[in-house]
Amino acid sequence: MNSDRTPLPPSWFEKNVGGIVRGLVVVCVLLLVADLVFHFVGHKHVHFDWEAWPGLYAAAGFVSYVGLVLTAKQLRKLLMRPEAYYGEAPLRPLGHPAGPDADPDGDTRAMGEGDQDERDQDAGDQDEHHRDAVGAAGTEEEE
Amino acid sequence: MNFFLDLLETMFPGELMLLGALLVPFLKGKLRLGYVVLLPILSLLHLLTLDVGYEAGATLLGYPLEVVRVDALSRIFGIVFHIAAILCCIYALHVKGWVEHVSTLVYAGAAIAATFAGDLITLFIFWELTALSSVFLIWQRGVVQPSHRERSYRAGMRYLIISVASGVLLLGGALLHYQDTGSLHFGLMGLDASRGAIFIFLAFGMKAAFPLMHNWVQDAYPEATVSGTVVLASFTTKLAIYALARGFAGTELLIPIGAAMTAFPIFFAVIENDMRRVLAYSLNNQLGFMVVGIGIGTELAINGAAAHAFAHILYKGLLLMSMGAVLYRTGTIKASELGGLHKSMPMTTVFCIIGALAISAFPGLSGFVTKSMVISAVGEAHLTIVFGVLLFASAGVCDHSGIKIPFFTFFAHDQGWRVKEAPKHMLIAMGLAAFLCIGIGVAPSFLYALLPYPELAAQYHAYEATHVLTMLELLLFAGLAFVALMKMGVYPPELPALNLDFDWFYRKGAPPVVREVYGLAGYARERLWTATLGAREAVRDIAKTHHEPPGGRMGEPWSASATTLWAALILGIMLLLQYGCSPAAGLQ
Repeated sequence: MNSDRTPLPPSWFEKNVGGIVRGLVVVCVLLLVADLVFHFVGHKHVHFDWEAWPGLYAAAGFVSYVGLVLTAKQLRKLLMRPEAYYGEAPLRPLGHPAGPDADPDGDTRAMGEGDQDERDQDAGDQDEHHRDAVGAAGTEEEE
Repeated sequence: MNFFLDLLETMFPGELMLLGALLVPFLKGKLRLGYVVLLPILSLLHLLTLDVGYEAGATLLGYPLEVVRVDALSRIFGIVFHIAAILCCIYALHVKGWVEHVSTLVYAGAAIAATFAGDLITLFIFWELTALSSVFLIWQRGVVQPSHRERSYRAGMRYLIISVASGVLLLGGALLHYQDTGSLHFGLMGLDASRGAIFIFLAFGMKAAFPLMHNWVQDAYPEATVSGTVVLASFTTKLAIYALARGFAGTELLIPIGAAMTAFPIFFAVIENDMRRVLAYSLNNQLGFMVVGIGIGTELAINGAAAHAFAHILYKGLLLMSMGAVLYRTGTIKASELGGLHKSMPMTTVFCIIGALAISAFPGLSGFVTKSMVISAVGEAHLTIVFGVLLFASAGVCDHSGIKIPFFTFFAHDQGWRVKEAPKHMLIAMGLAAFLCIGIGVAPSFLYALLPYPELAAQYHAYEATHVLTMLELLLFAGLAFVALMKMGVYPPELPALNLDFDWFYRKGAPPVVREVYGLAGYARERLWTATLGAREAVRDIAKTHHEPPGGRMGEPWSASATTLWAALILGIMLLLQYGCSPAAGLQ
């Protein structure tokens, strides 16, 4: 998207994704080690016996997360509908959401009109109603 | 000066904002903006002059009302409502018209006044006022963005109808409660206190977004203006949490209800594309933790619920403010259209991440020191299943609010946005909220001192080694799971679509059925009318000759409360029927 624009130079984050991930893995391993050490050396304050098993919370976090995300992904098959399902025009990026009236700096017409058209084409699967609505909204923005 | 001080002394908390809001339309420019921010600050100072134990009353149509009751429970909610109002007013300084400012002040003032209401009628009045005043925050979206007019109008109507329905239940319940107990006092009642208690419970439950009554939150909040969503998310649902804590602490039914609230909205949050709607689902999940705490009802649990509500208002406000700033600058809030914004909005990114860590209950931030109280209370009550559900939900929060919101907005794929950083006033509001999120996390004792049971809270240590370790494990391994799913390419992509939820039933399912039934009923009535002409004339003749004397069965006087009850009931039914049939209410 927005191929007509030269990309901004990569940020620190973008250059270091690999490092951040490696750091996360290292911290996770350290946590497990700390948990094991604490389990045999220290005294855990727990409400249930099973809570004290070393690595239980790590497993709970990982498994819950994967289970949640994959289940939700399957739910899409059942629940997902087009944006215009309720007969309302879906929200499009129409320049300023609050309108020029509420803009203190008088700037940021969001992206240019070109982007607007591109987005509309992306949403090509939408029905007639939607396209009309976007068209009408587009003229309002011209004012 | 003395005159004003005397006047202040007769005021109830929030009144300053309610009355002061009326002046806003007459002020212009900077004066108006300064006044809008000053008003909630003065109101907060006024509240702080009232000591715990302060009470004030009034009389309405012969009923004595307890308009003001300041105790530890109402005070902590009153204080955080004021802080939220101040932050919201700063955040909304870019708004040039007066409607949003007045709406915000009246809405916040009404929520504060309701918090301090000592009787059910005062509560009802301000309960309804919060609904009536806040709908303008949704409708204003259509005013400032004309292409959005129809959509805002419909969303606002749905919001208003559900809010008012909750008020009708509350009023009906209050009157039944009065008939049974002879008292309108709003205190701990429980479900068995009277025939009215269940209606009051349901009225609170609607606004606290109980499962299957939850959908108005996700439906309405994301449709409001940039600042309107922040305002809406701060008050109504937390007022309901306060009311539940006041009236139904220890009601065990709340434990499964709350557990369901923590778990099921997060599935929707994972696949939702509108980032403010993701946060509305997340709001529902957070309310669940509070509801569980109230259901357990021990001192620790009530402390936990109140503390979590306090922290929640601030970090949820912060997250919604950061998303509002993104909407304000880019014009969109869909995950499928966002990404890479950390390059152009670095400060907003940092504030959003602070909010995300706070809601995930990362050690060092506010969510950690408050949610742990609720979880400890569940542990002490030895509720194994609920404990497991809350752990699952905690990992879930880490996904949708902790990772999805900041990652897909500010990082992920750079979509080429070239926008300015958020305006200064928004950065100030976000900065203050972020400061409070960190402050509460680092020094929880200030918050703990405000809790309903401060002595117990003073002995509570959130930063206990086991707890810090286990929470870090839970969150970081959830983060690891995210990385793994992304690397494997199985994390669900952000798609421009909507997901069906319970609102389908009243937006798609019910209207044709109701219209059909209404049509049939009209037809049946007509047929009945013509068919019974003879019989009716006969009855009329009998009635004319043998009419009941005054004092007979038909002439019996009704009590005022019974009349109001029936009127409320009939109006409620009419409202629902009209809603189903009216094309203006916008149900396709």
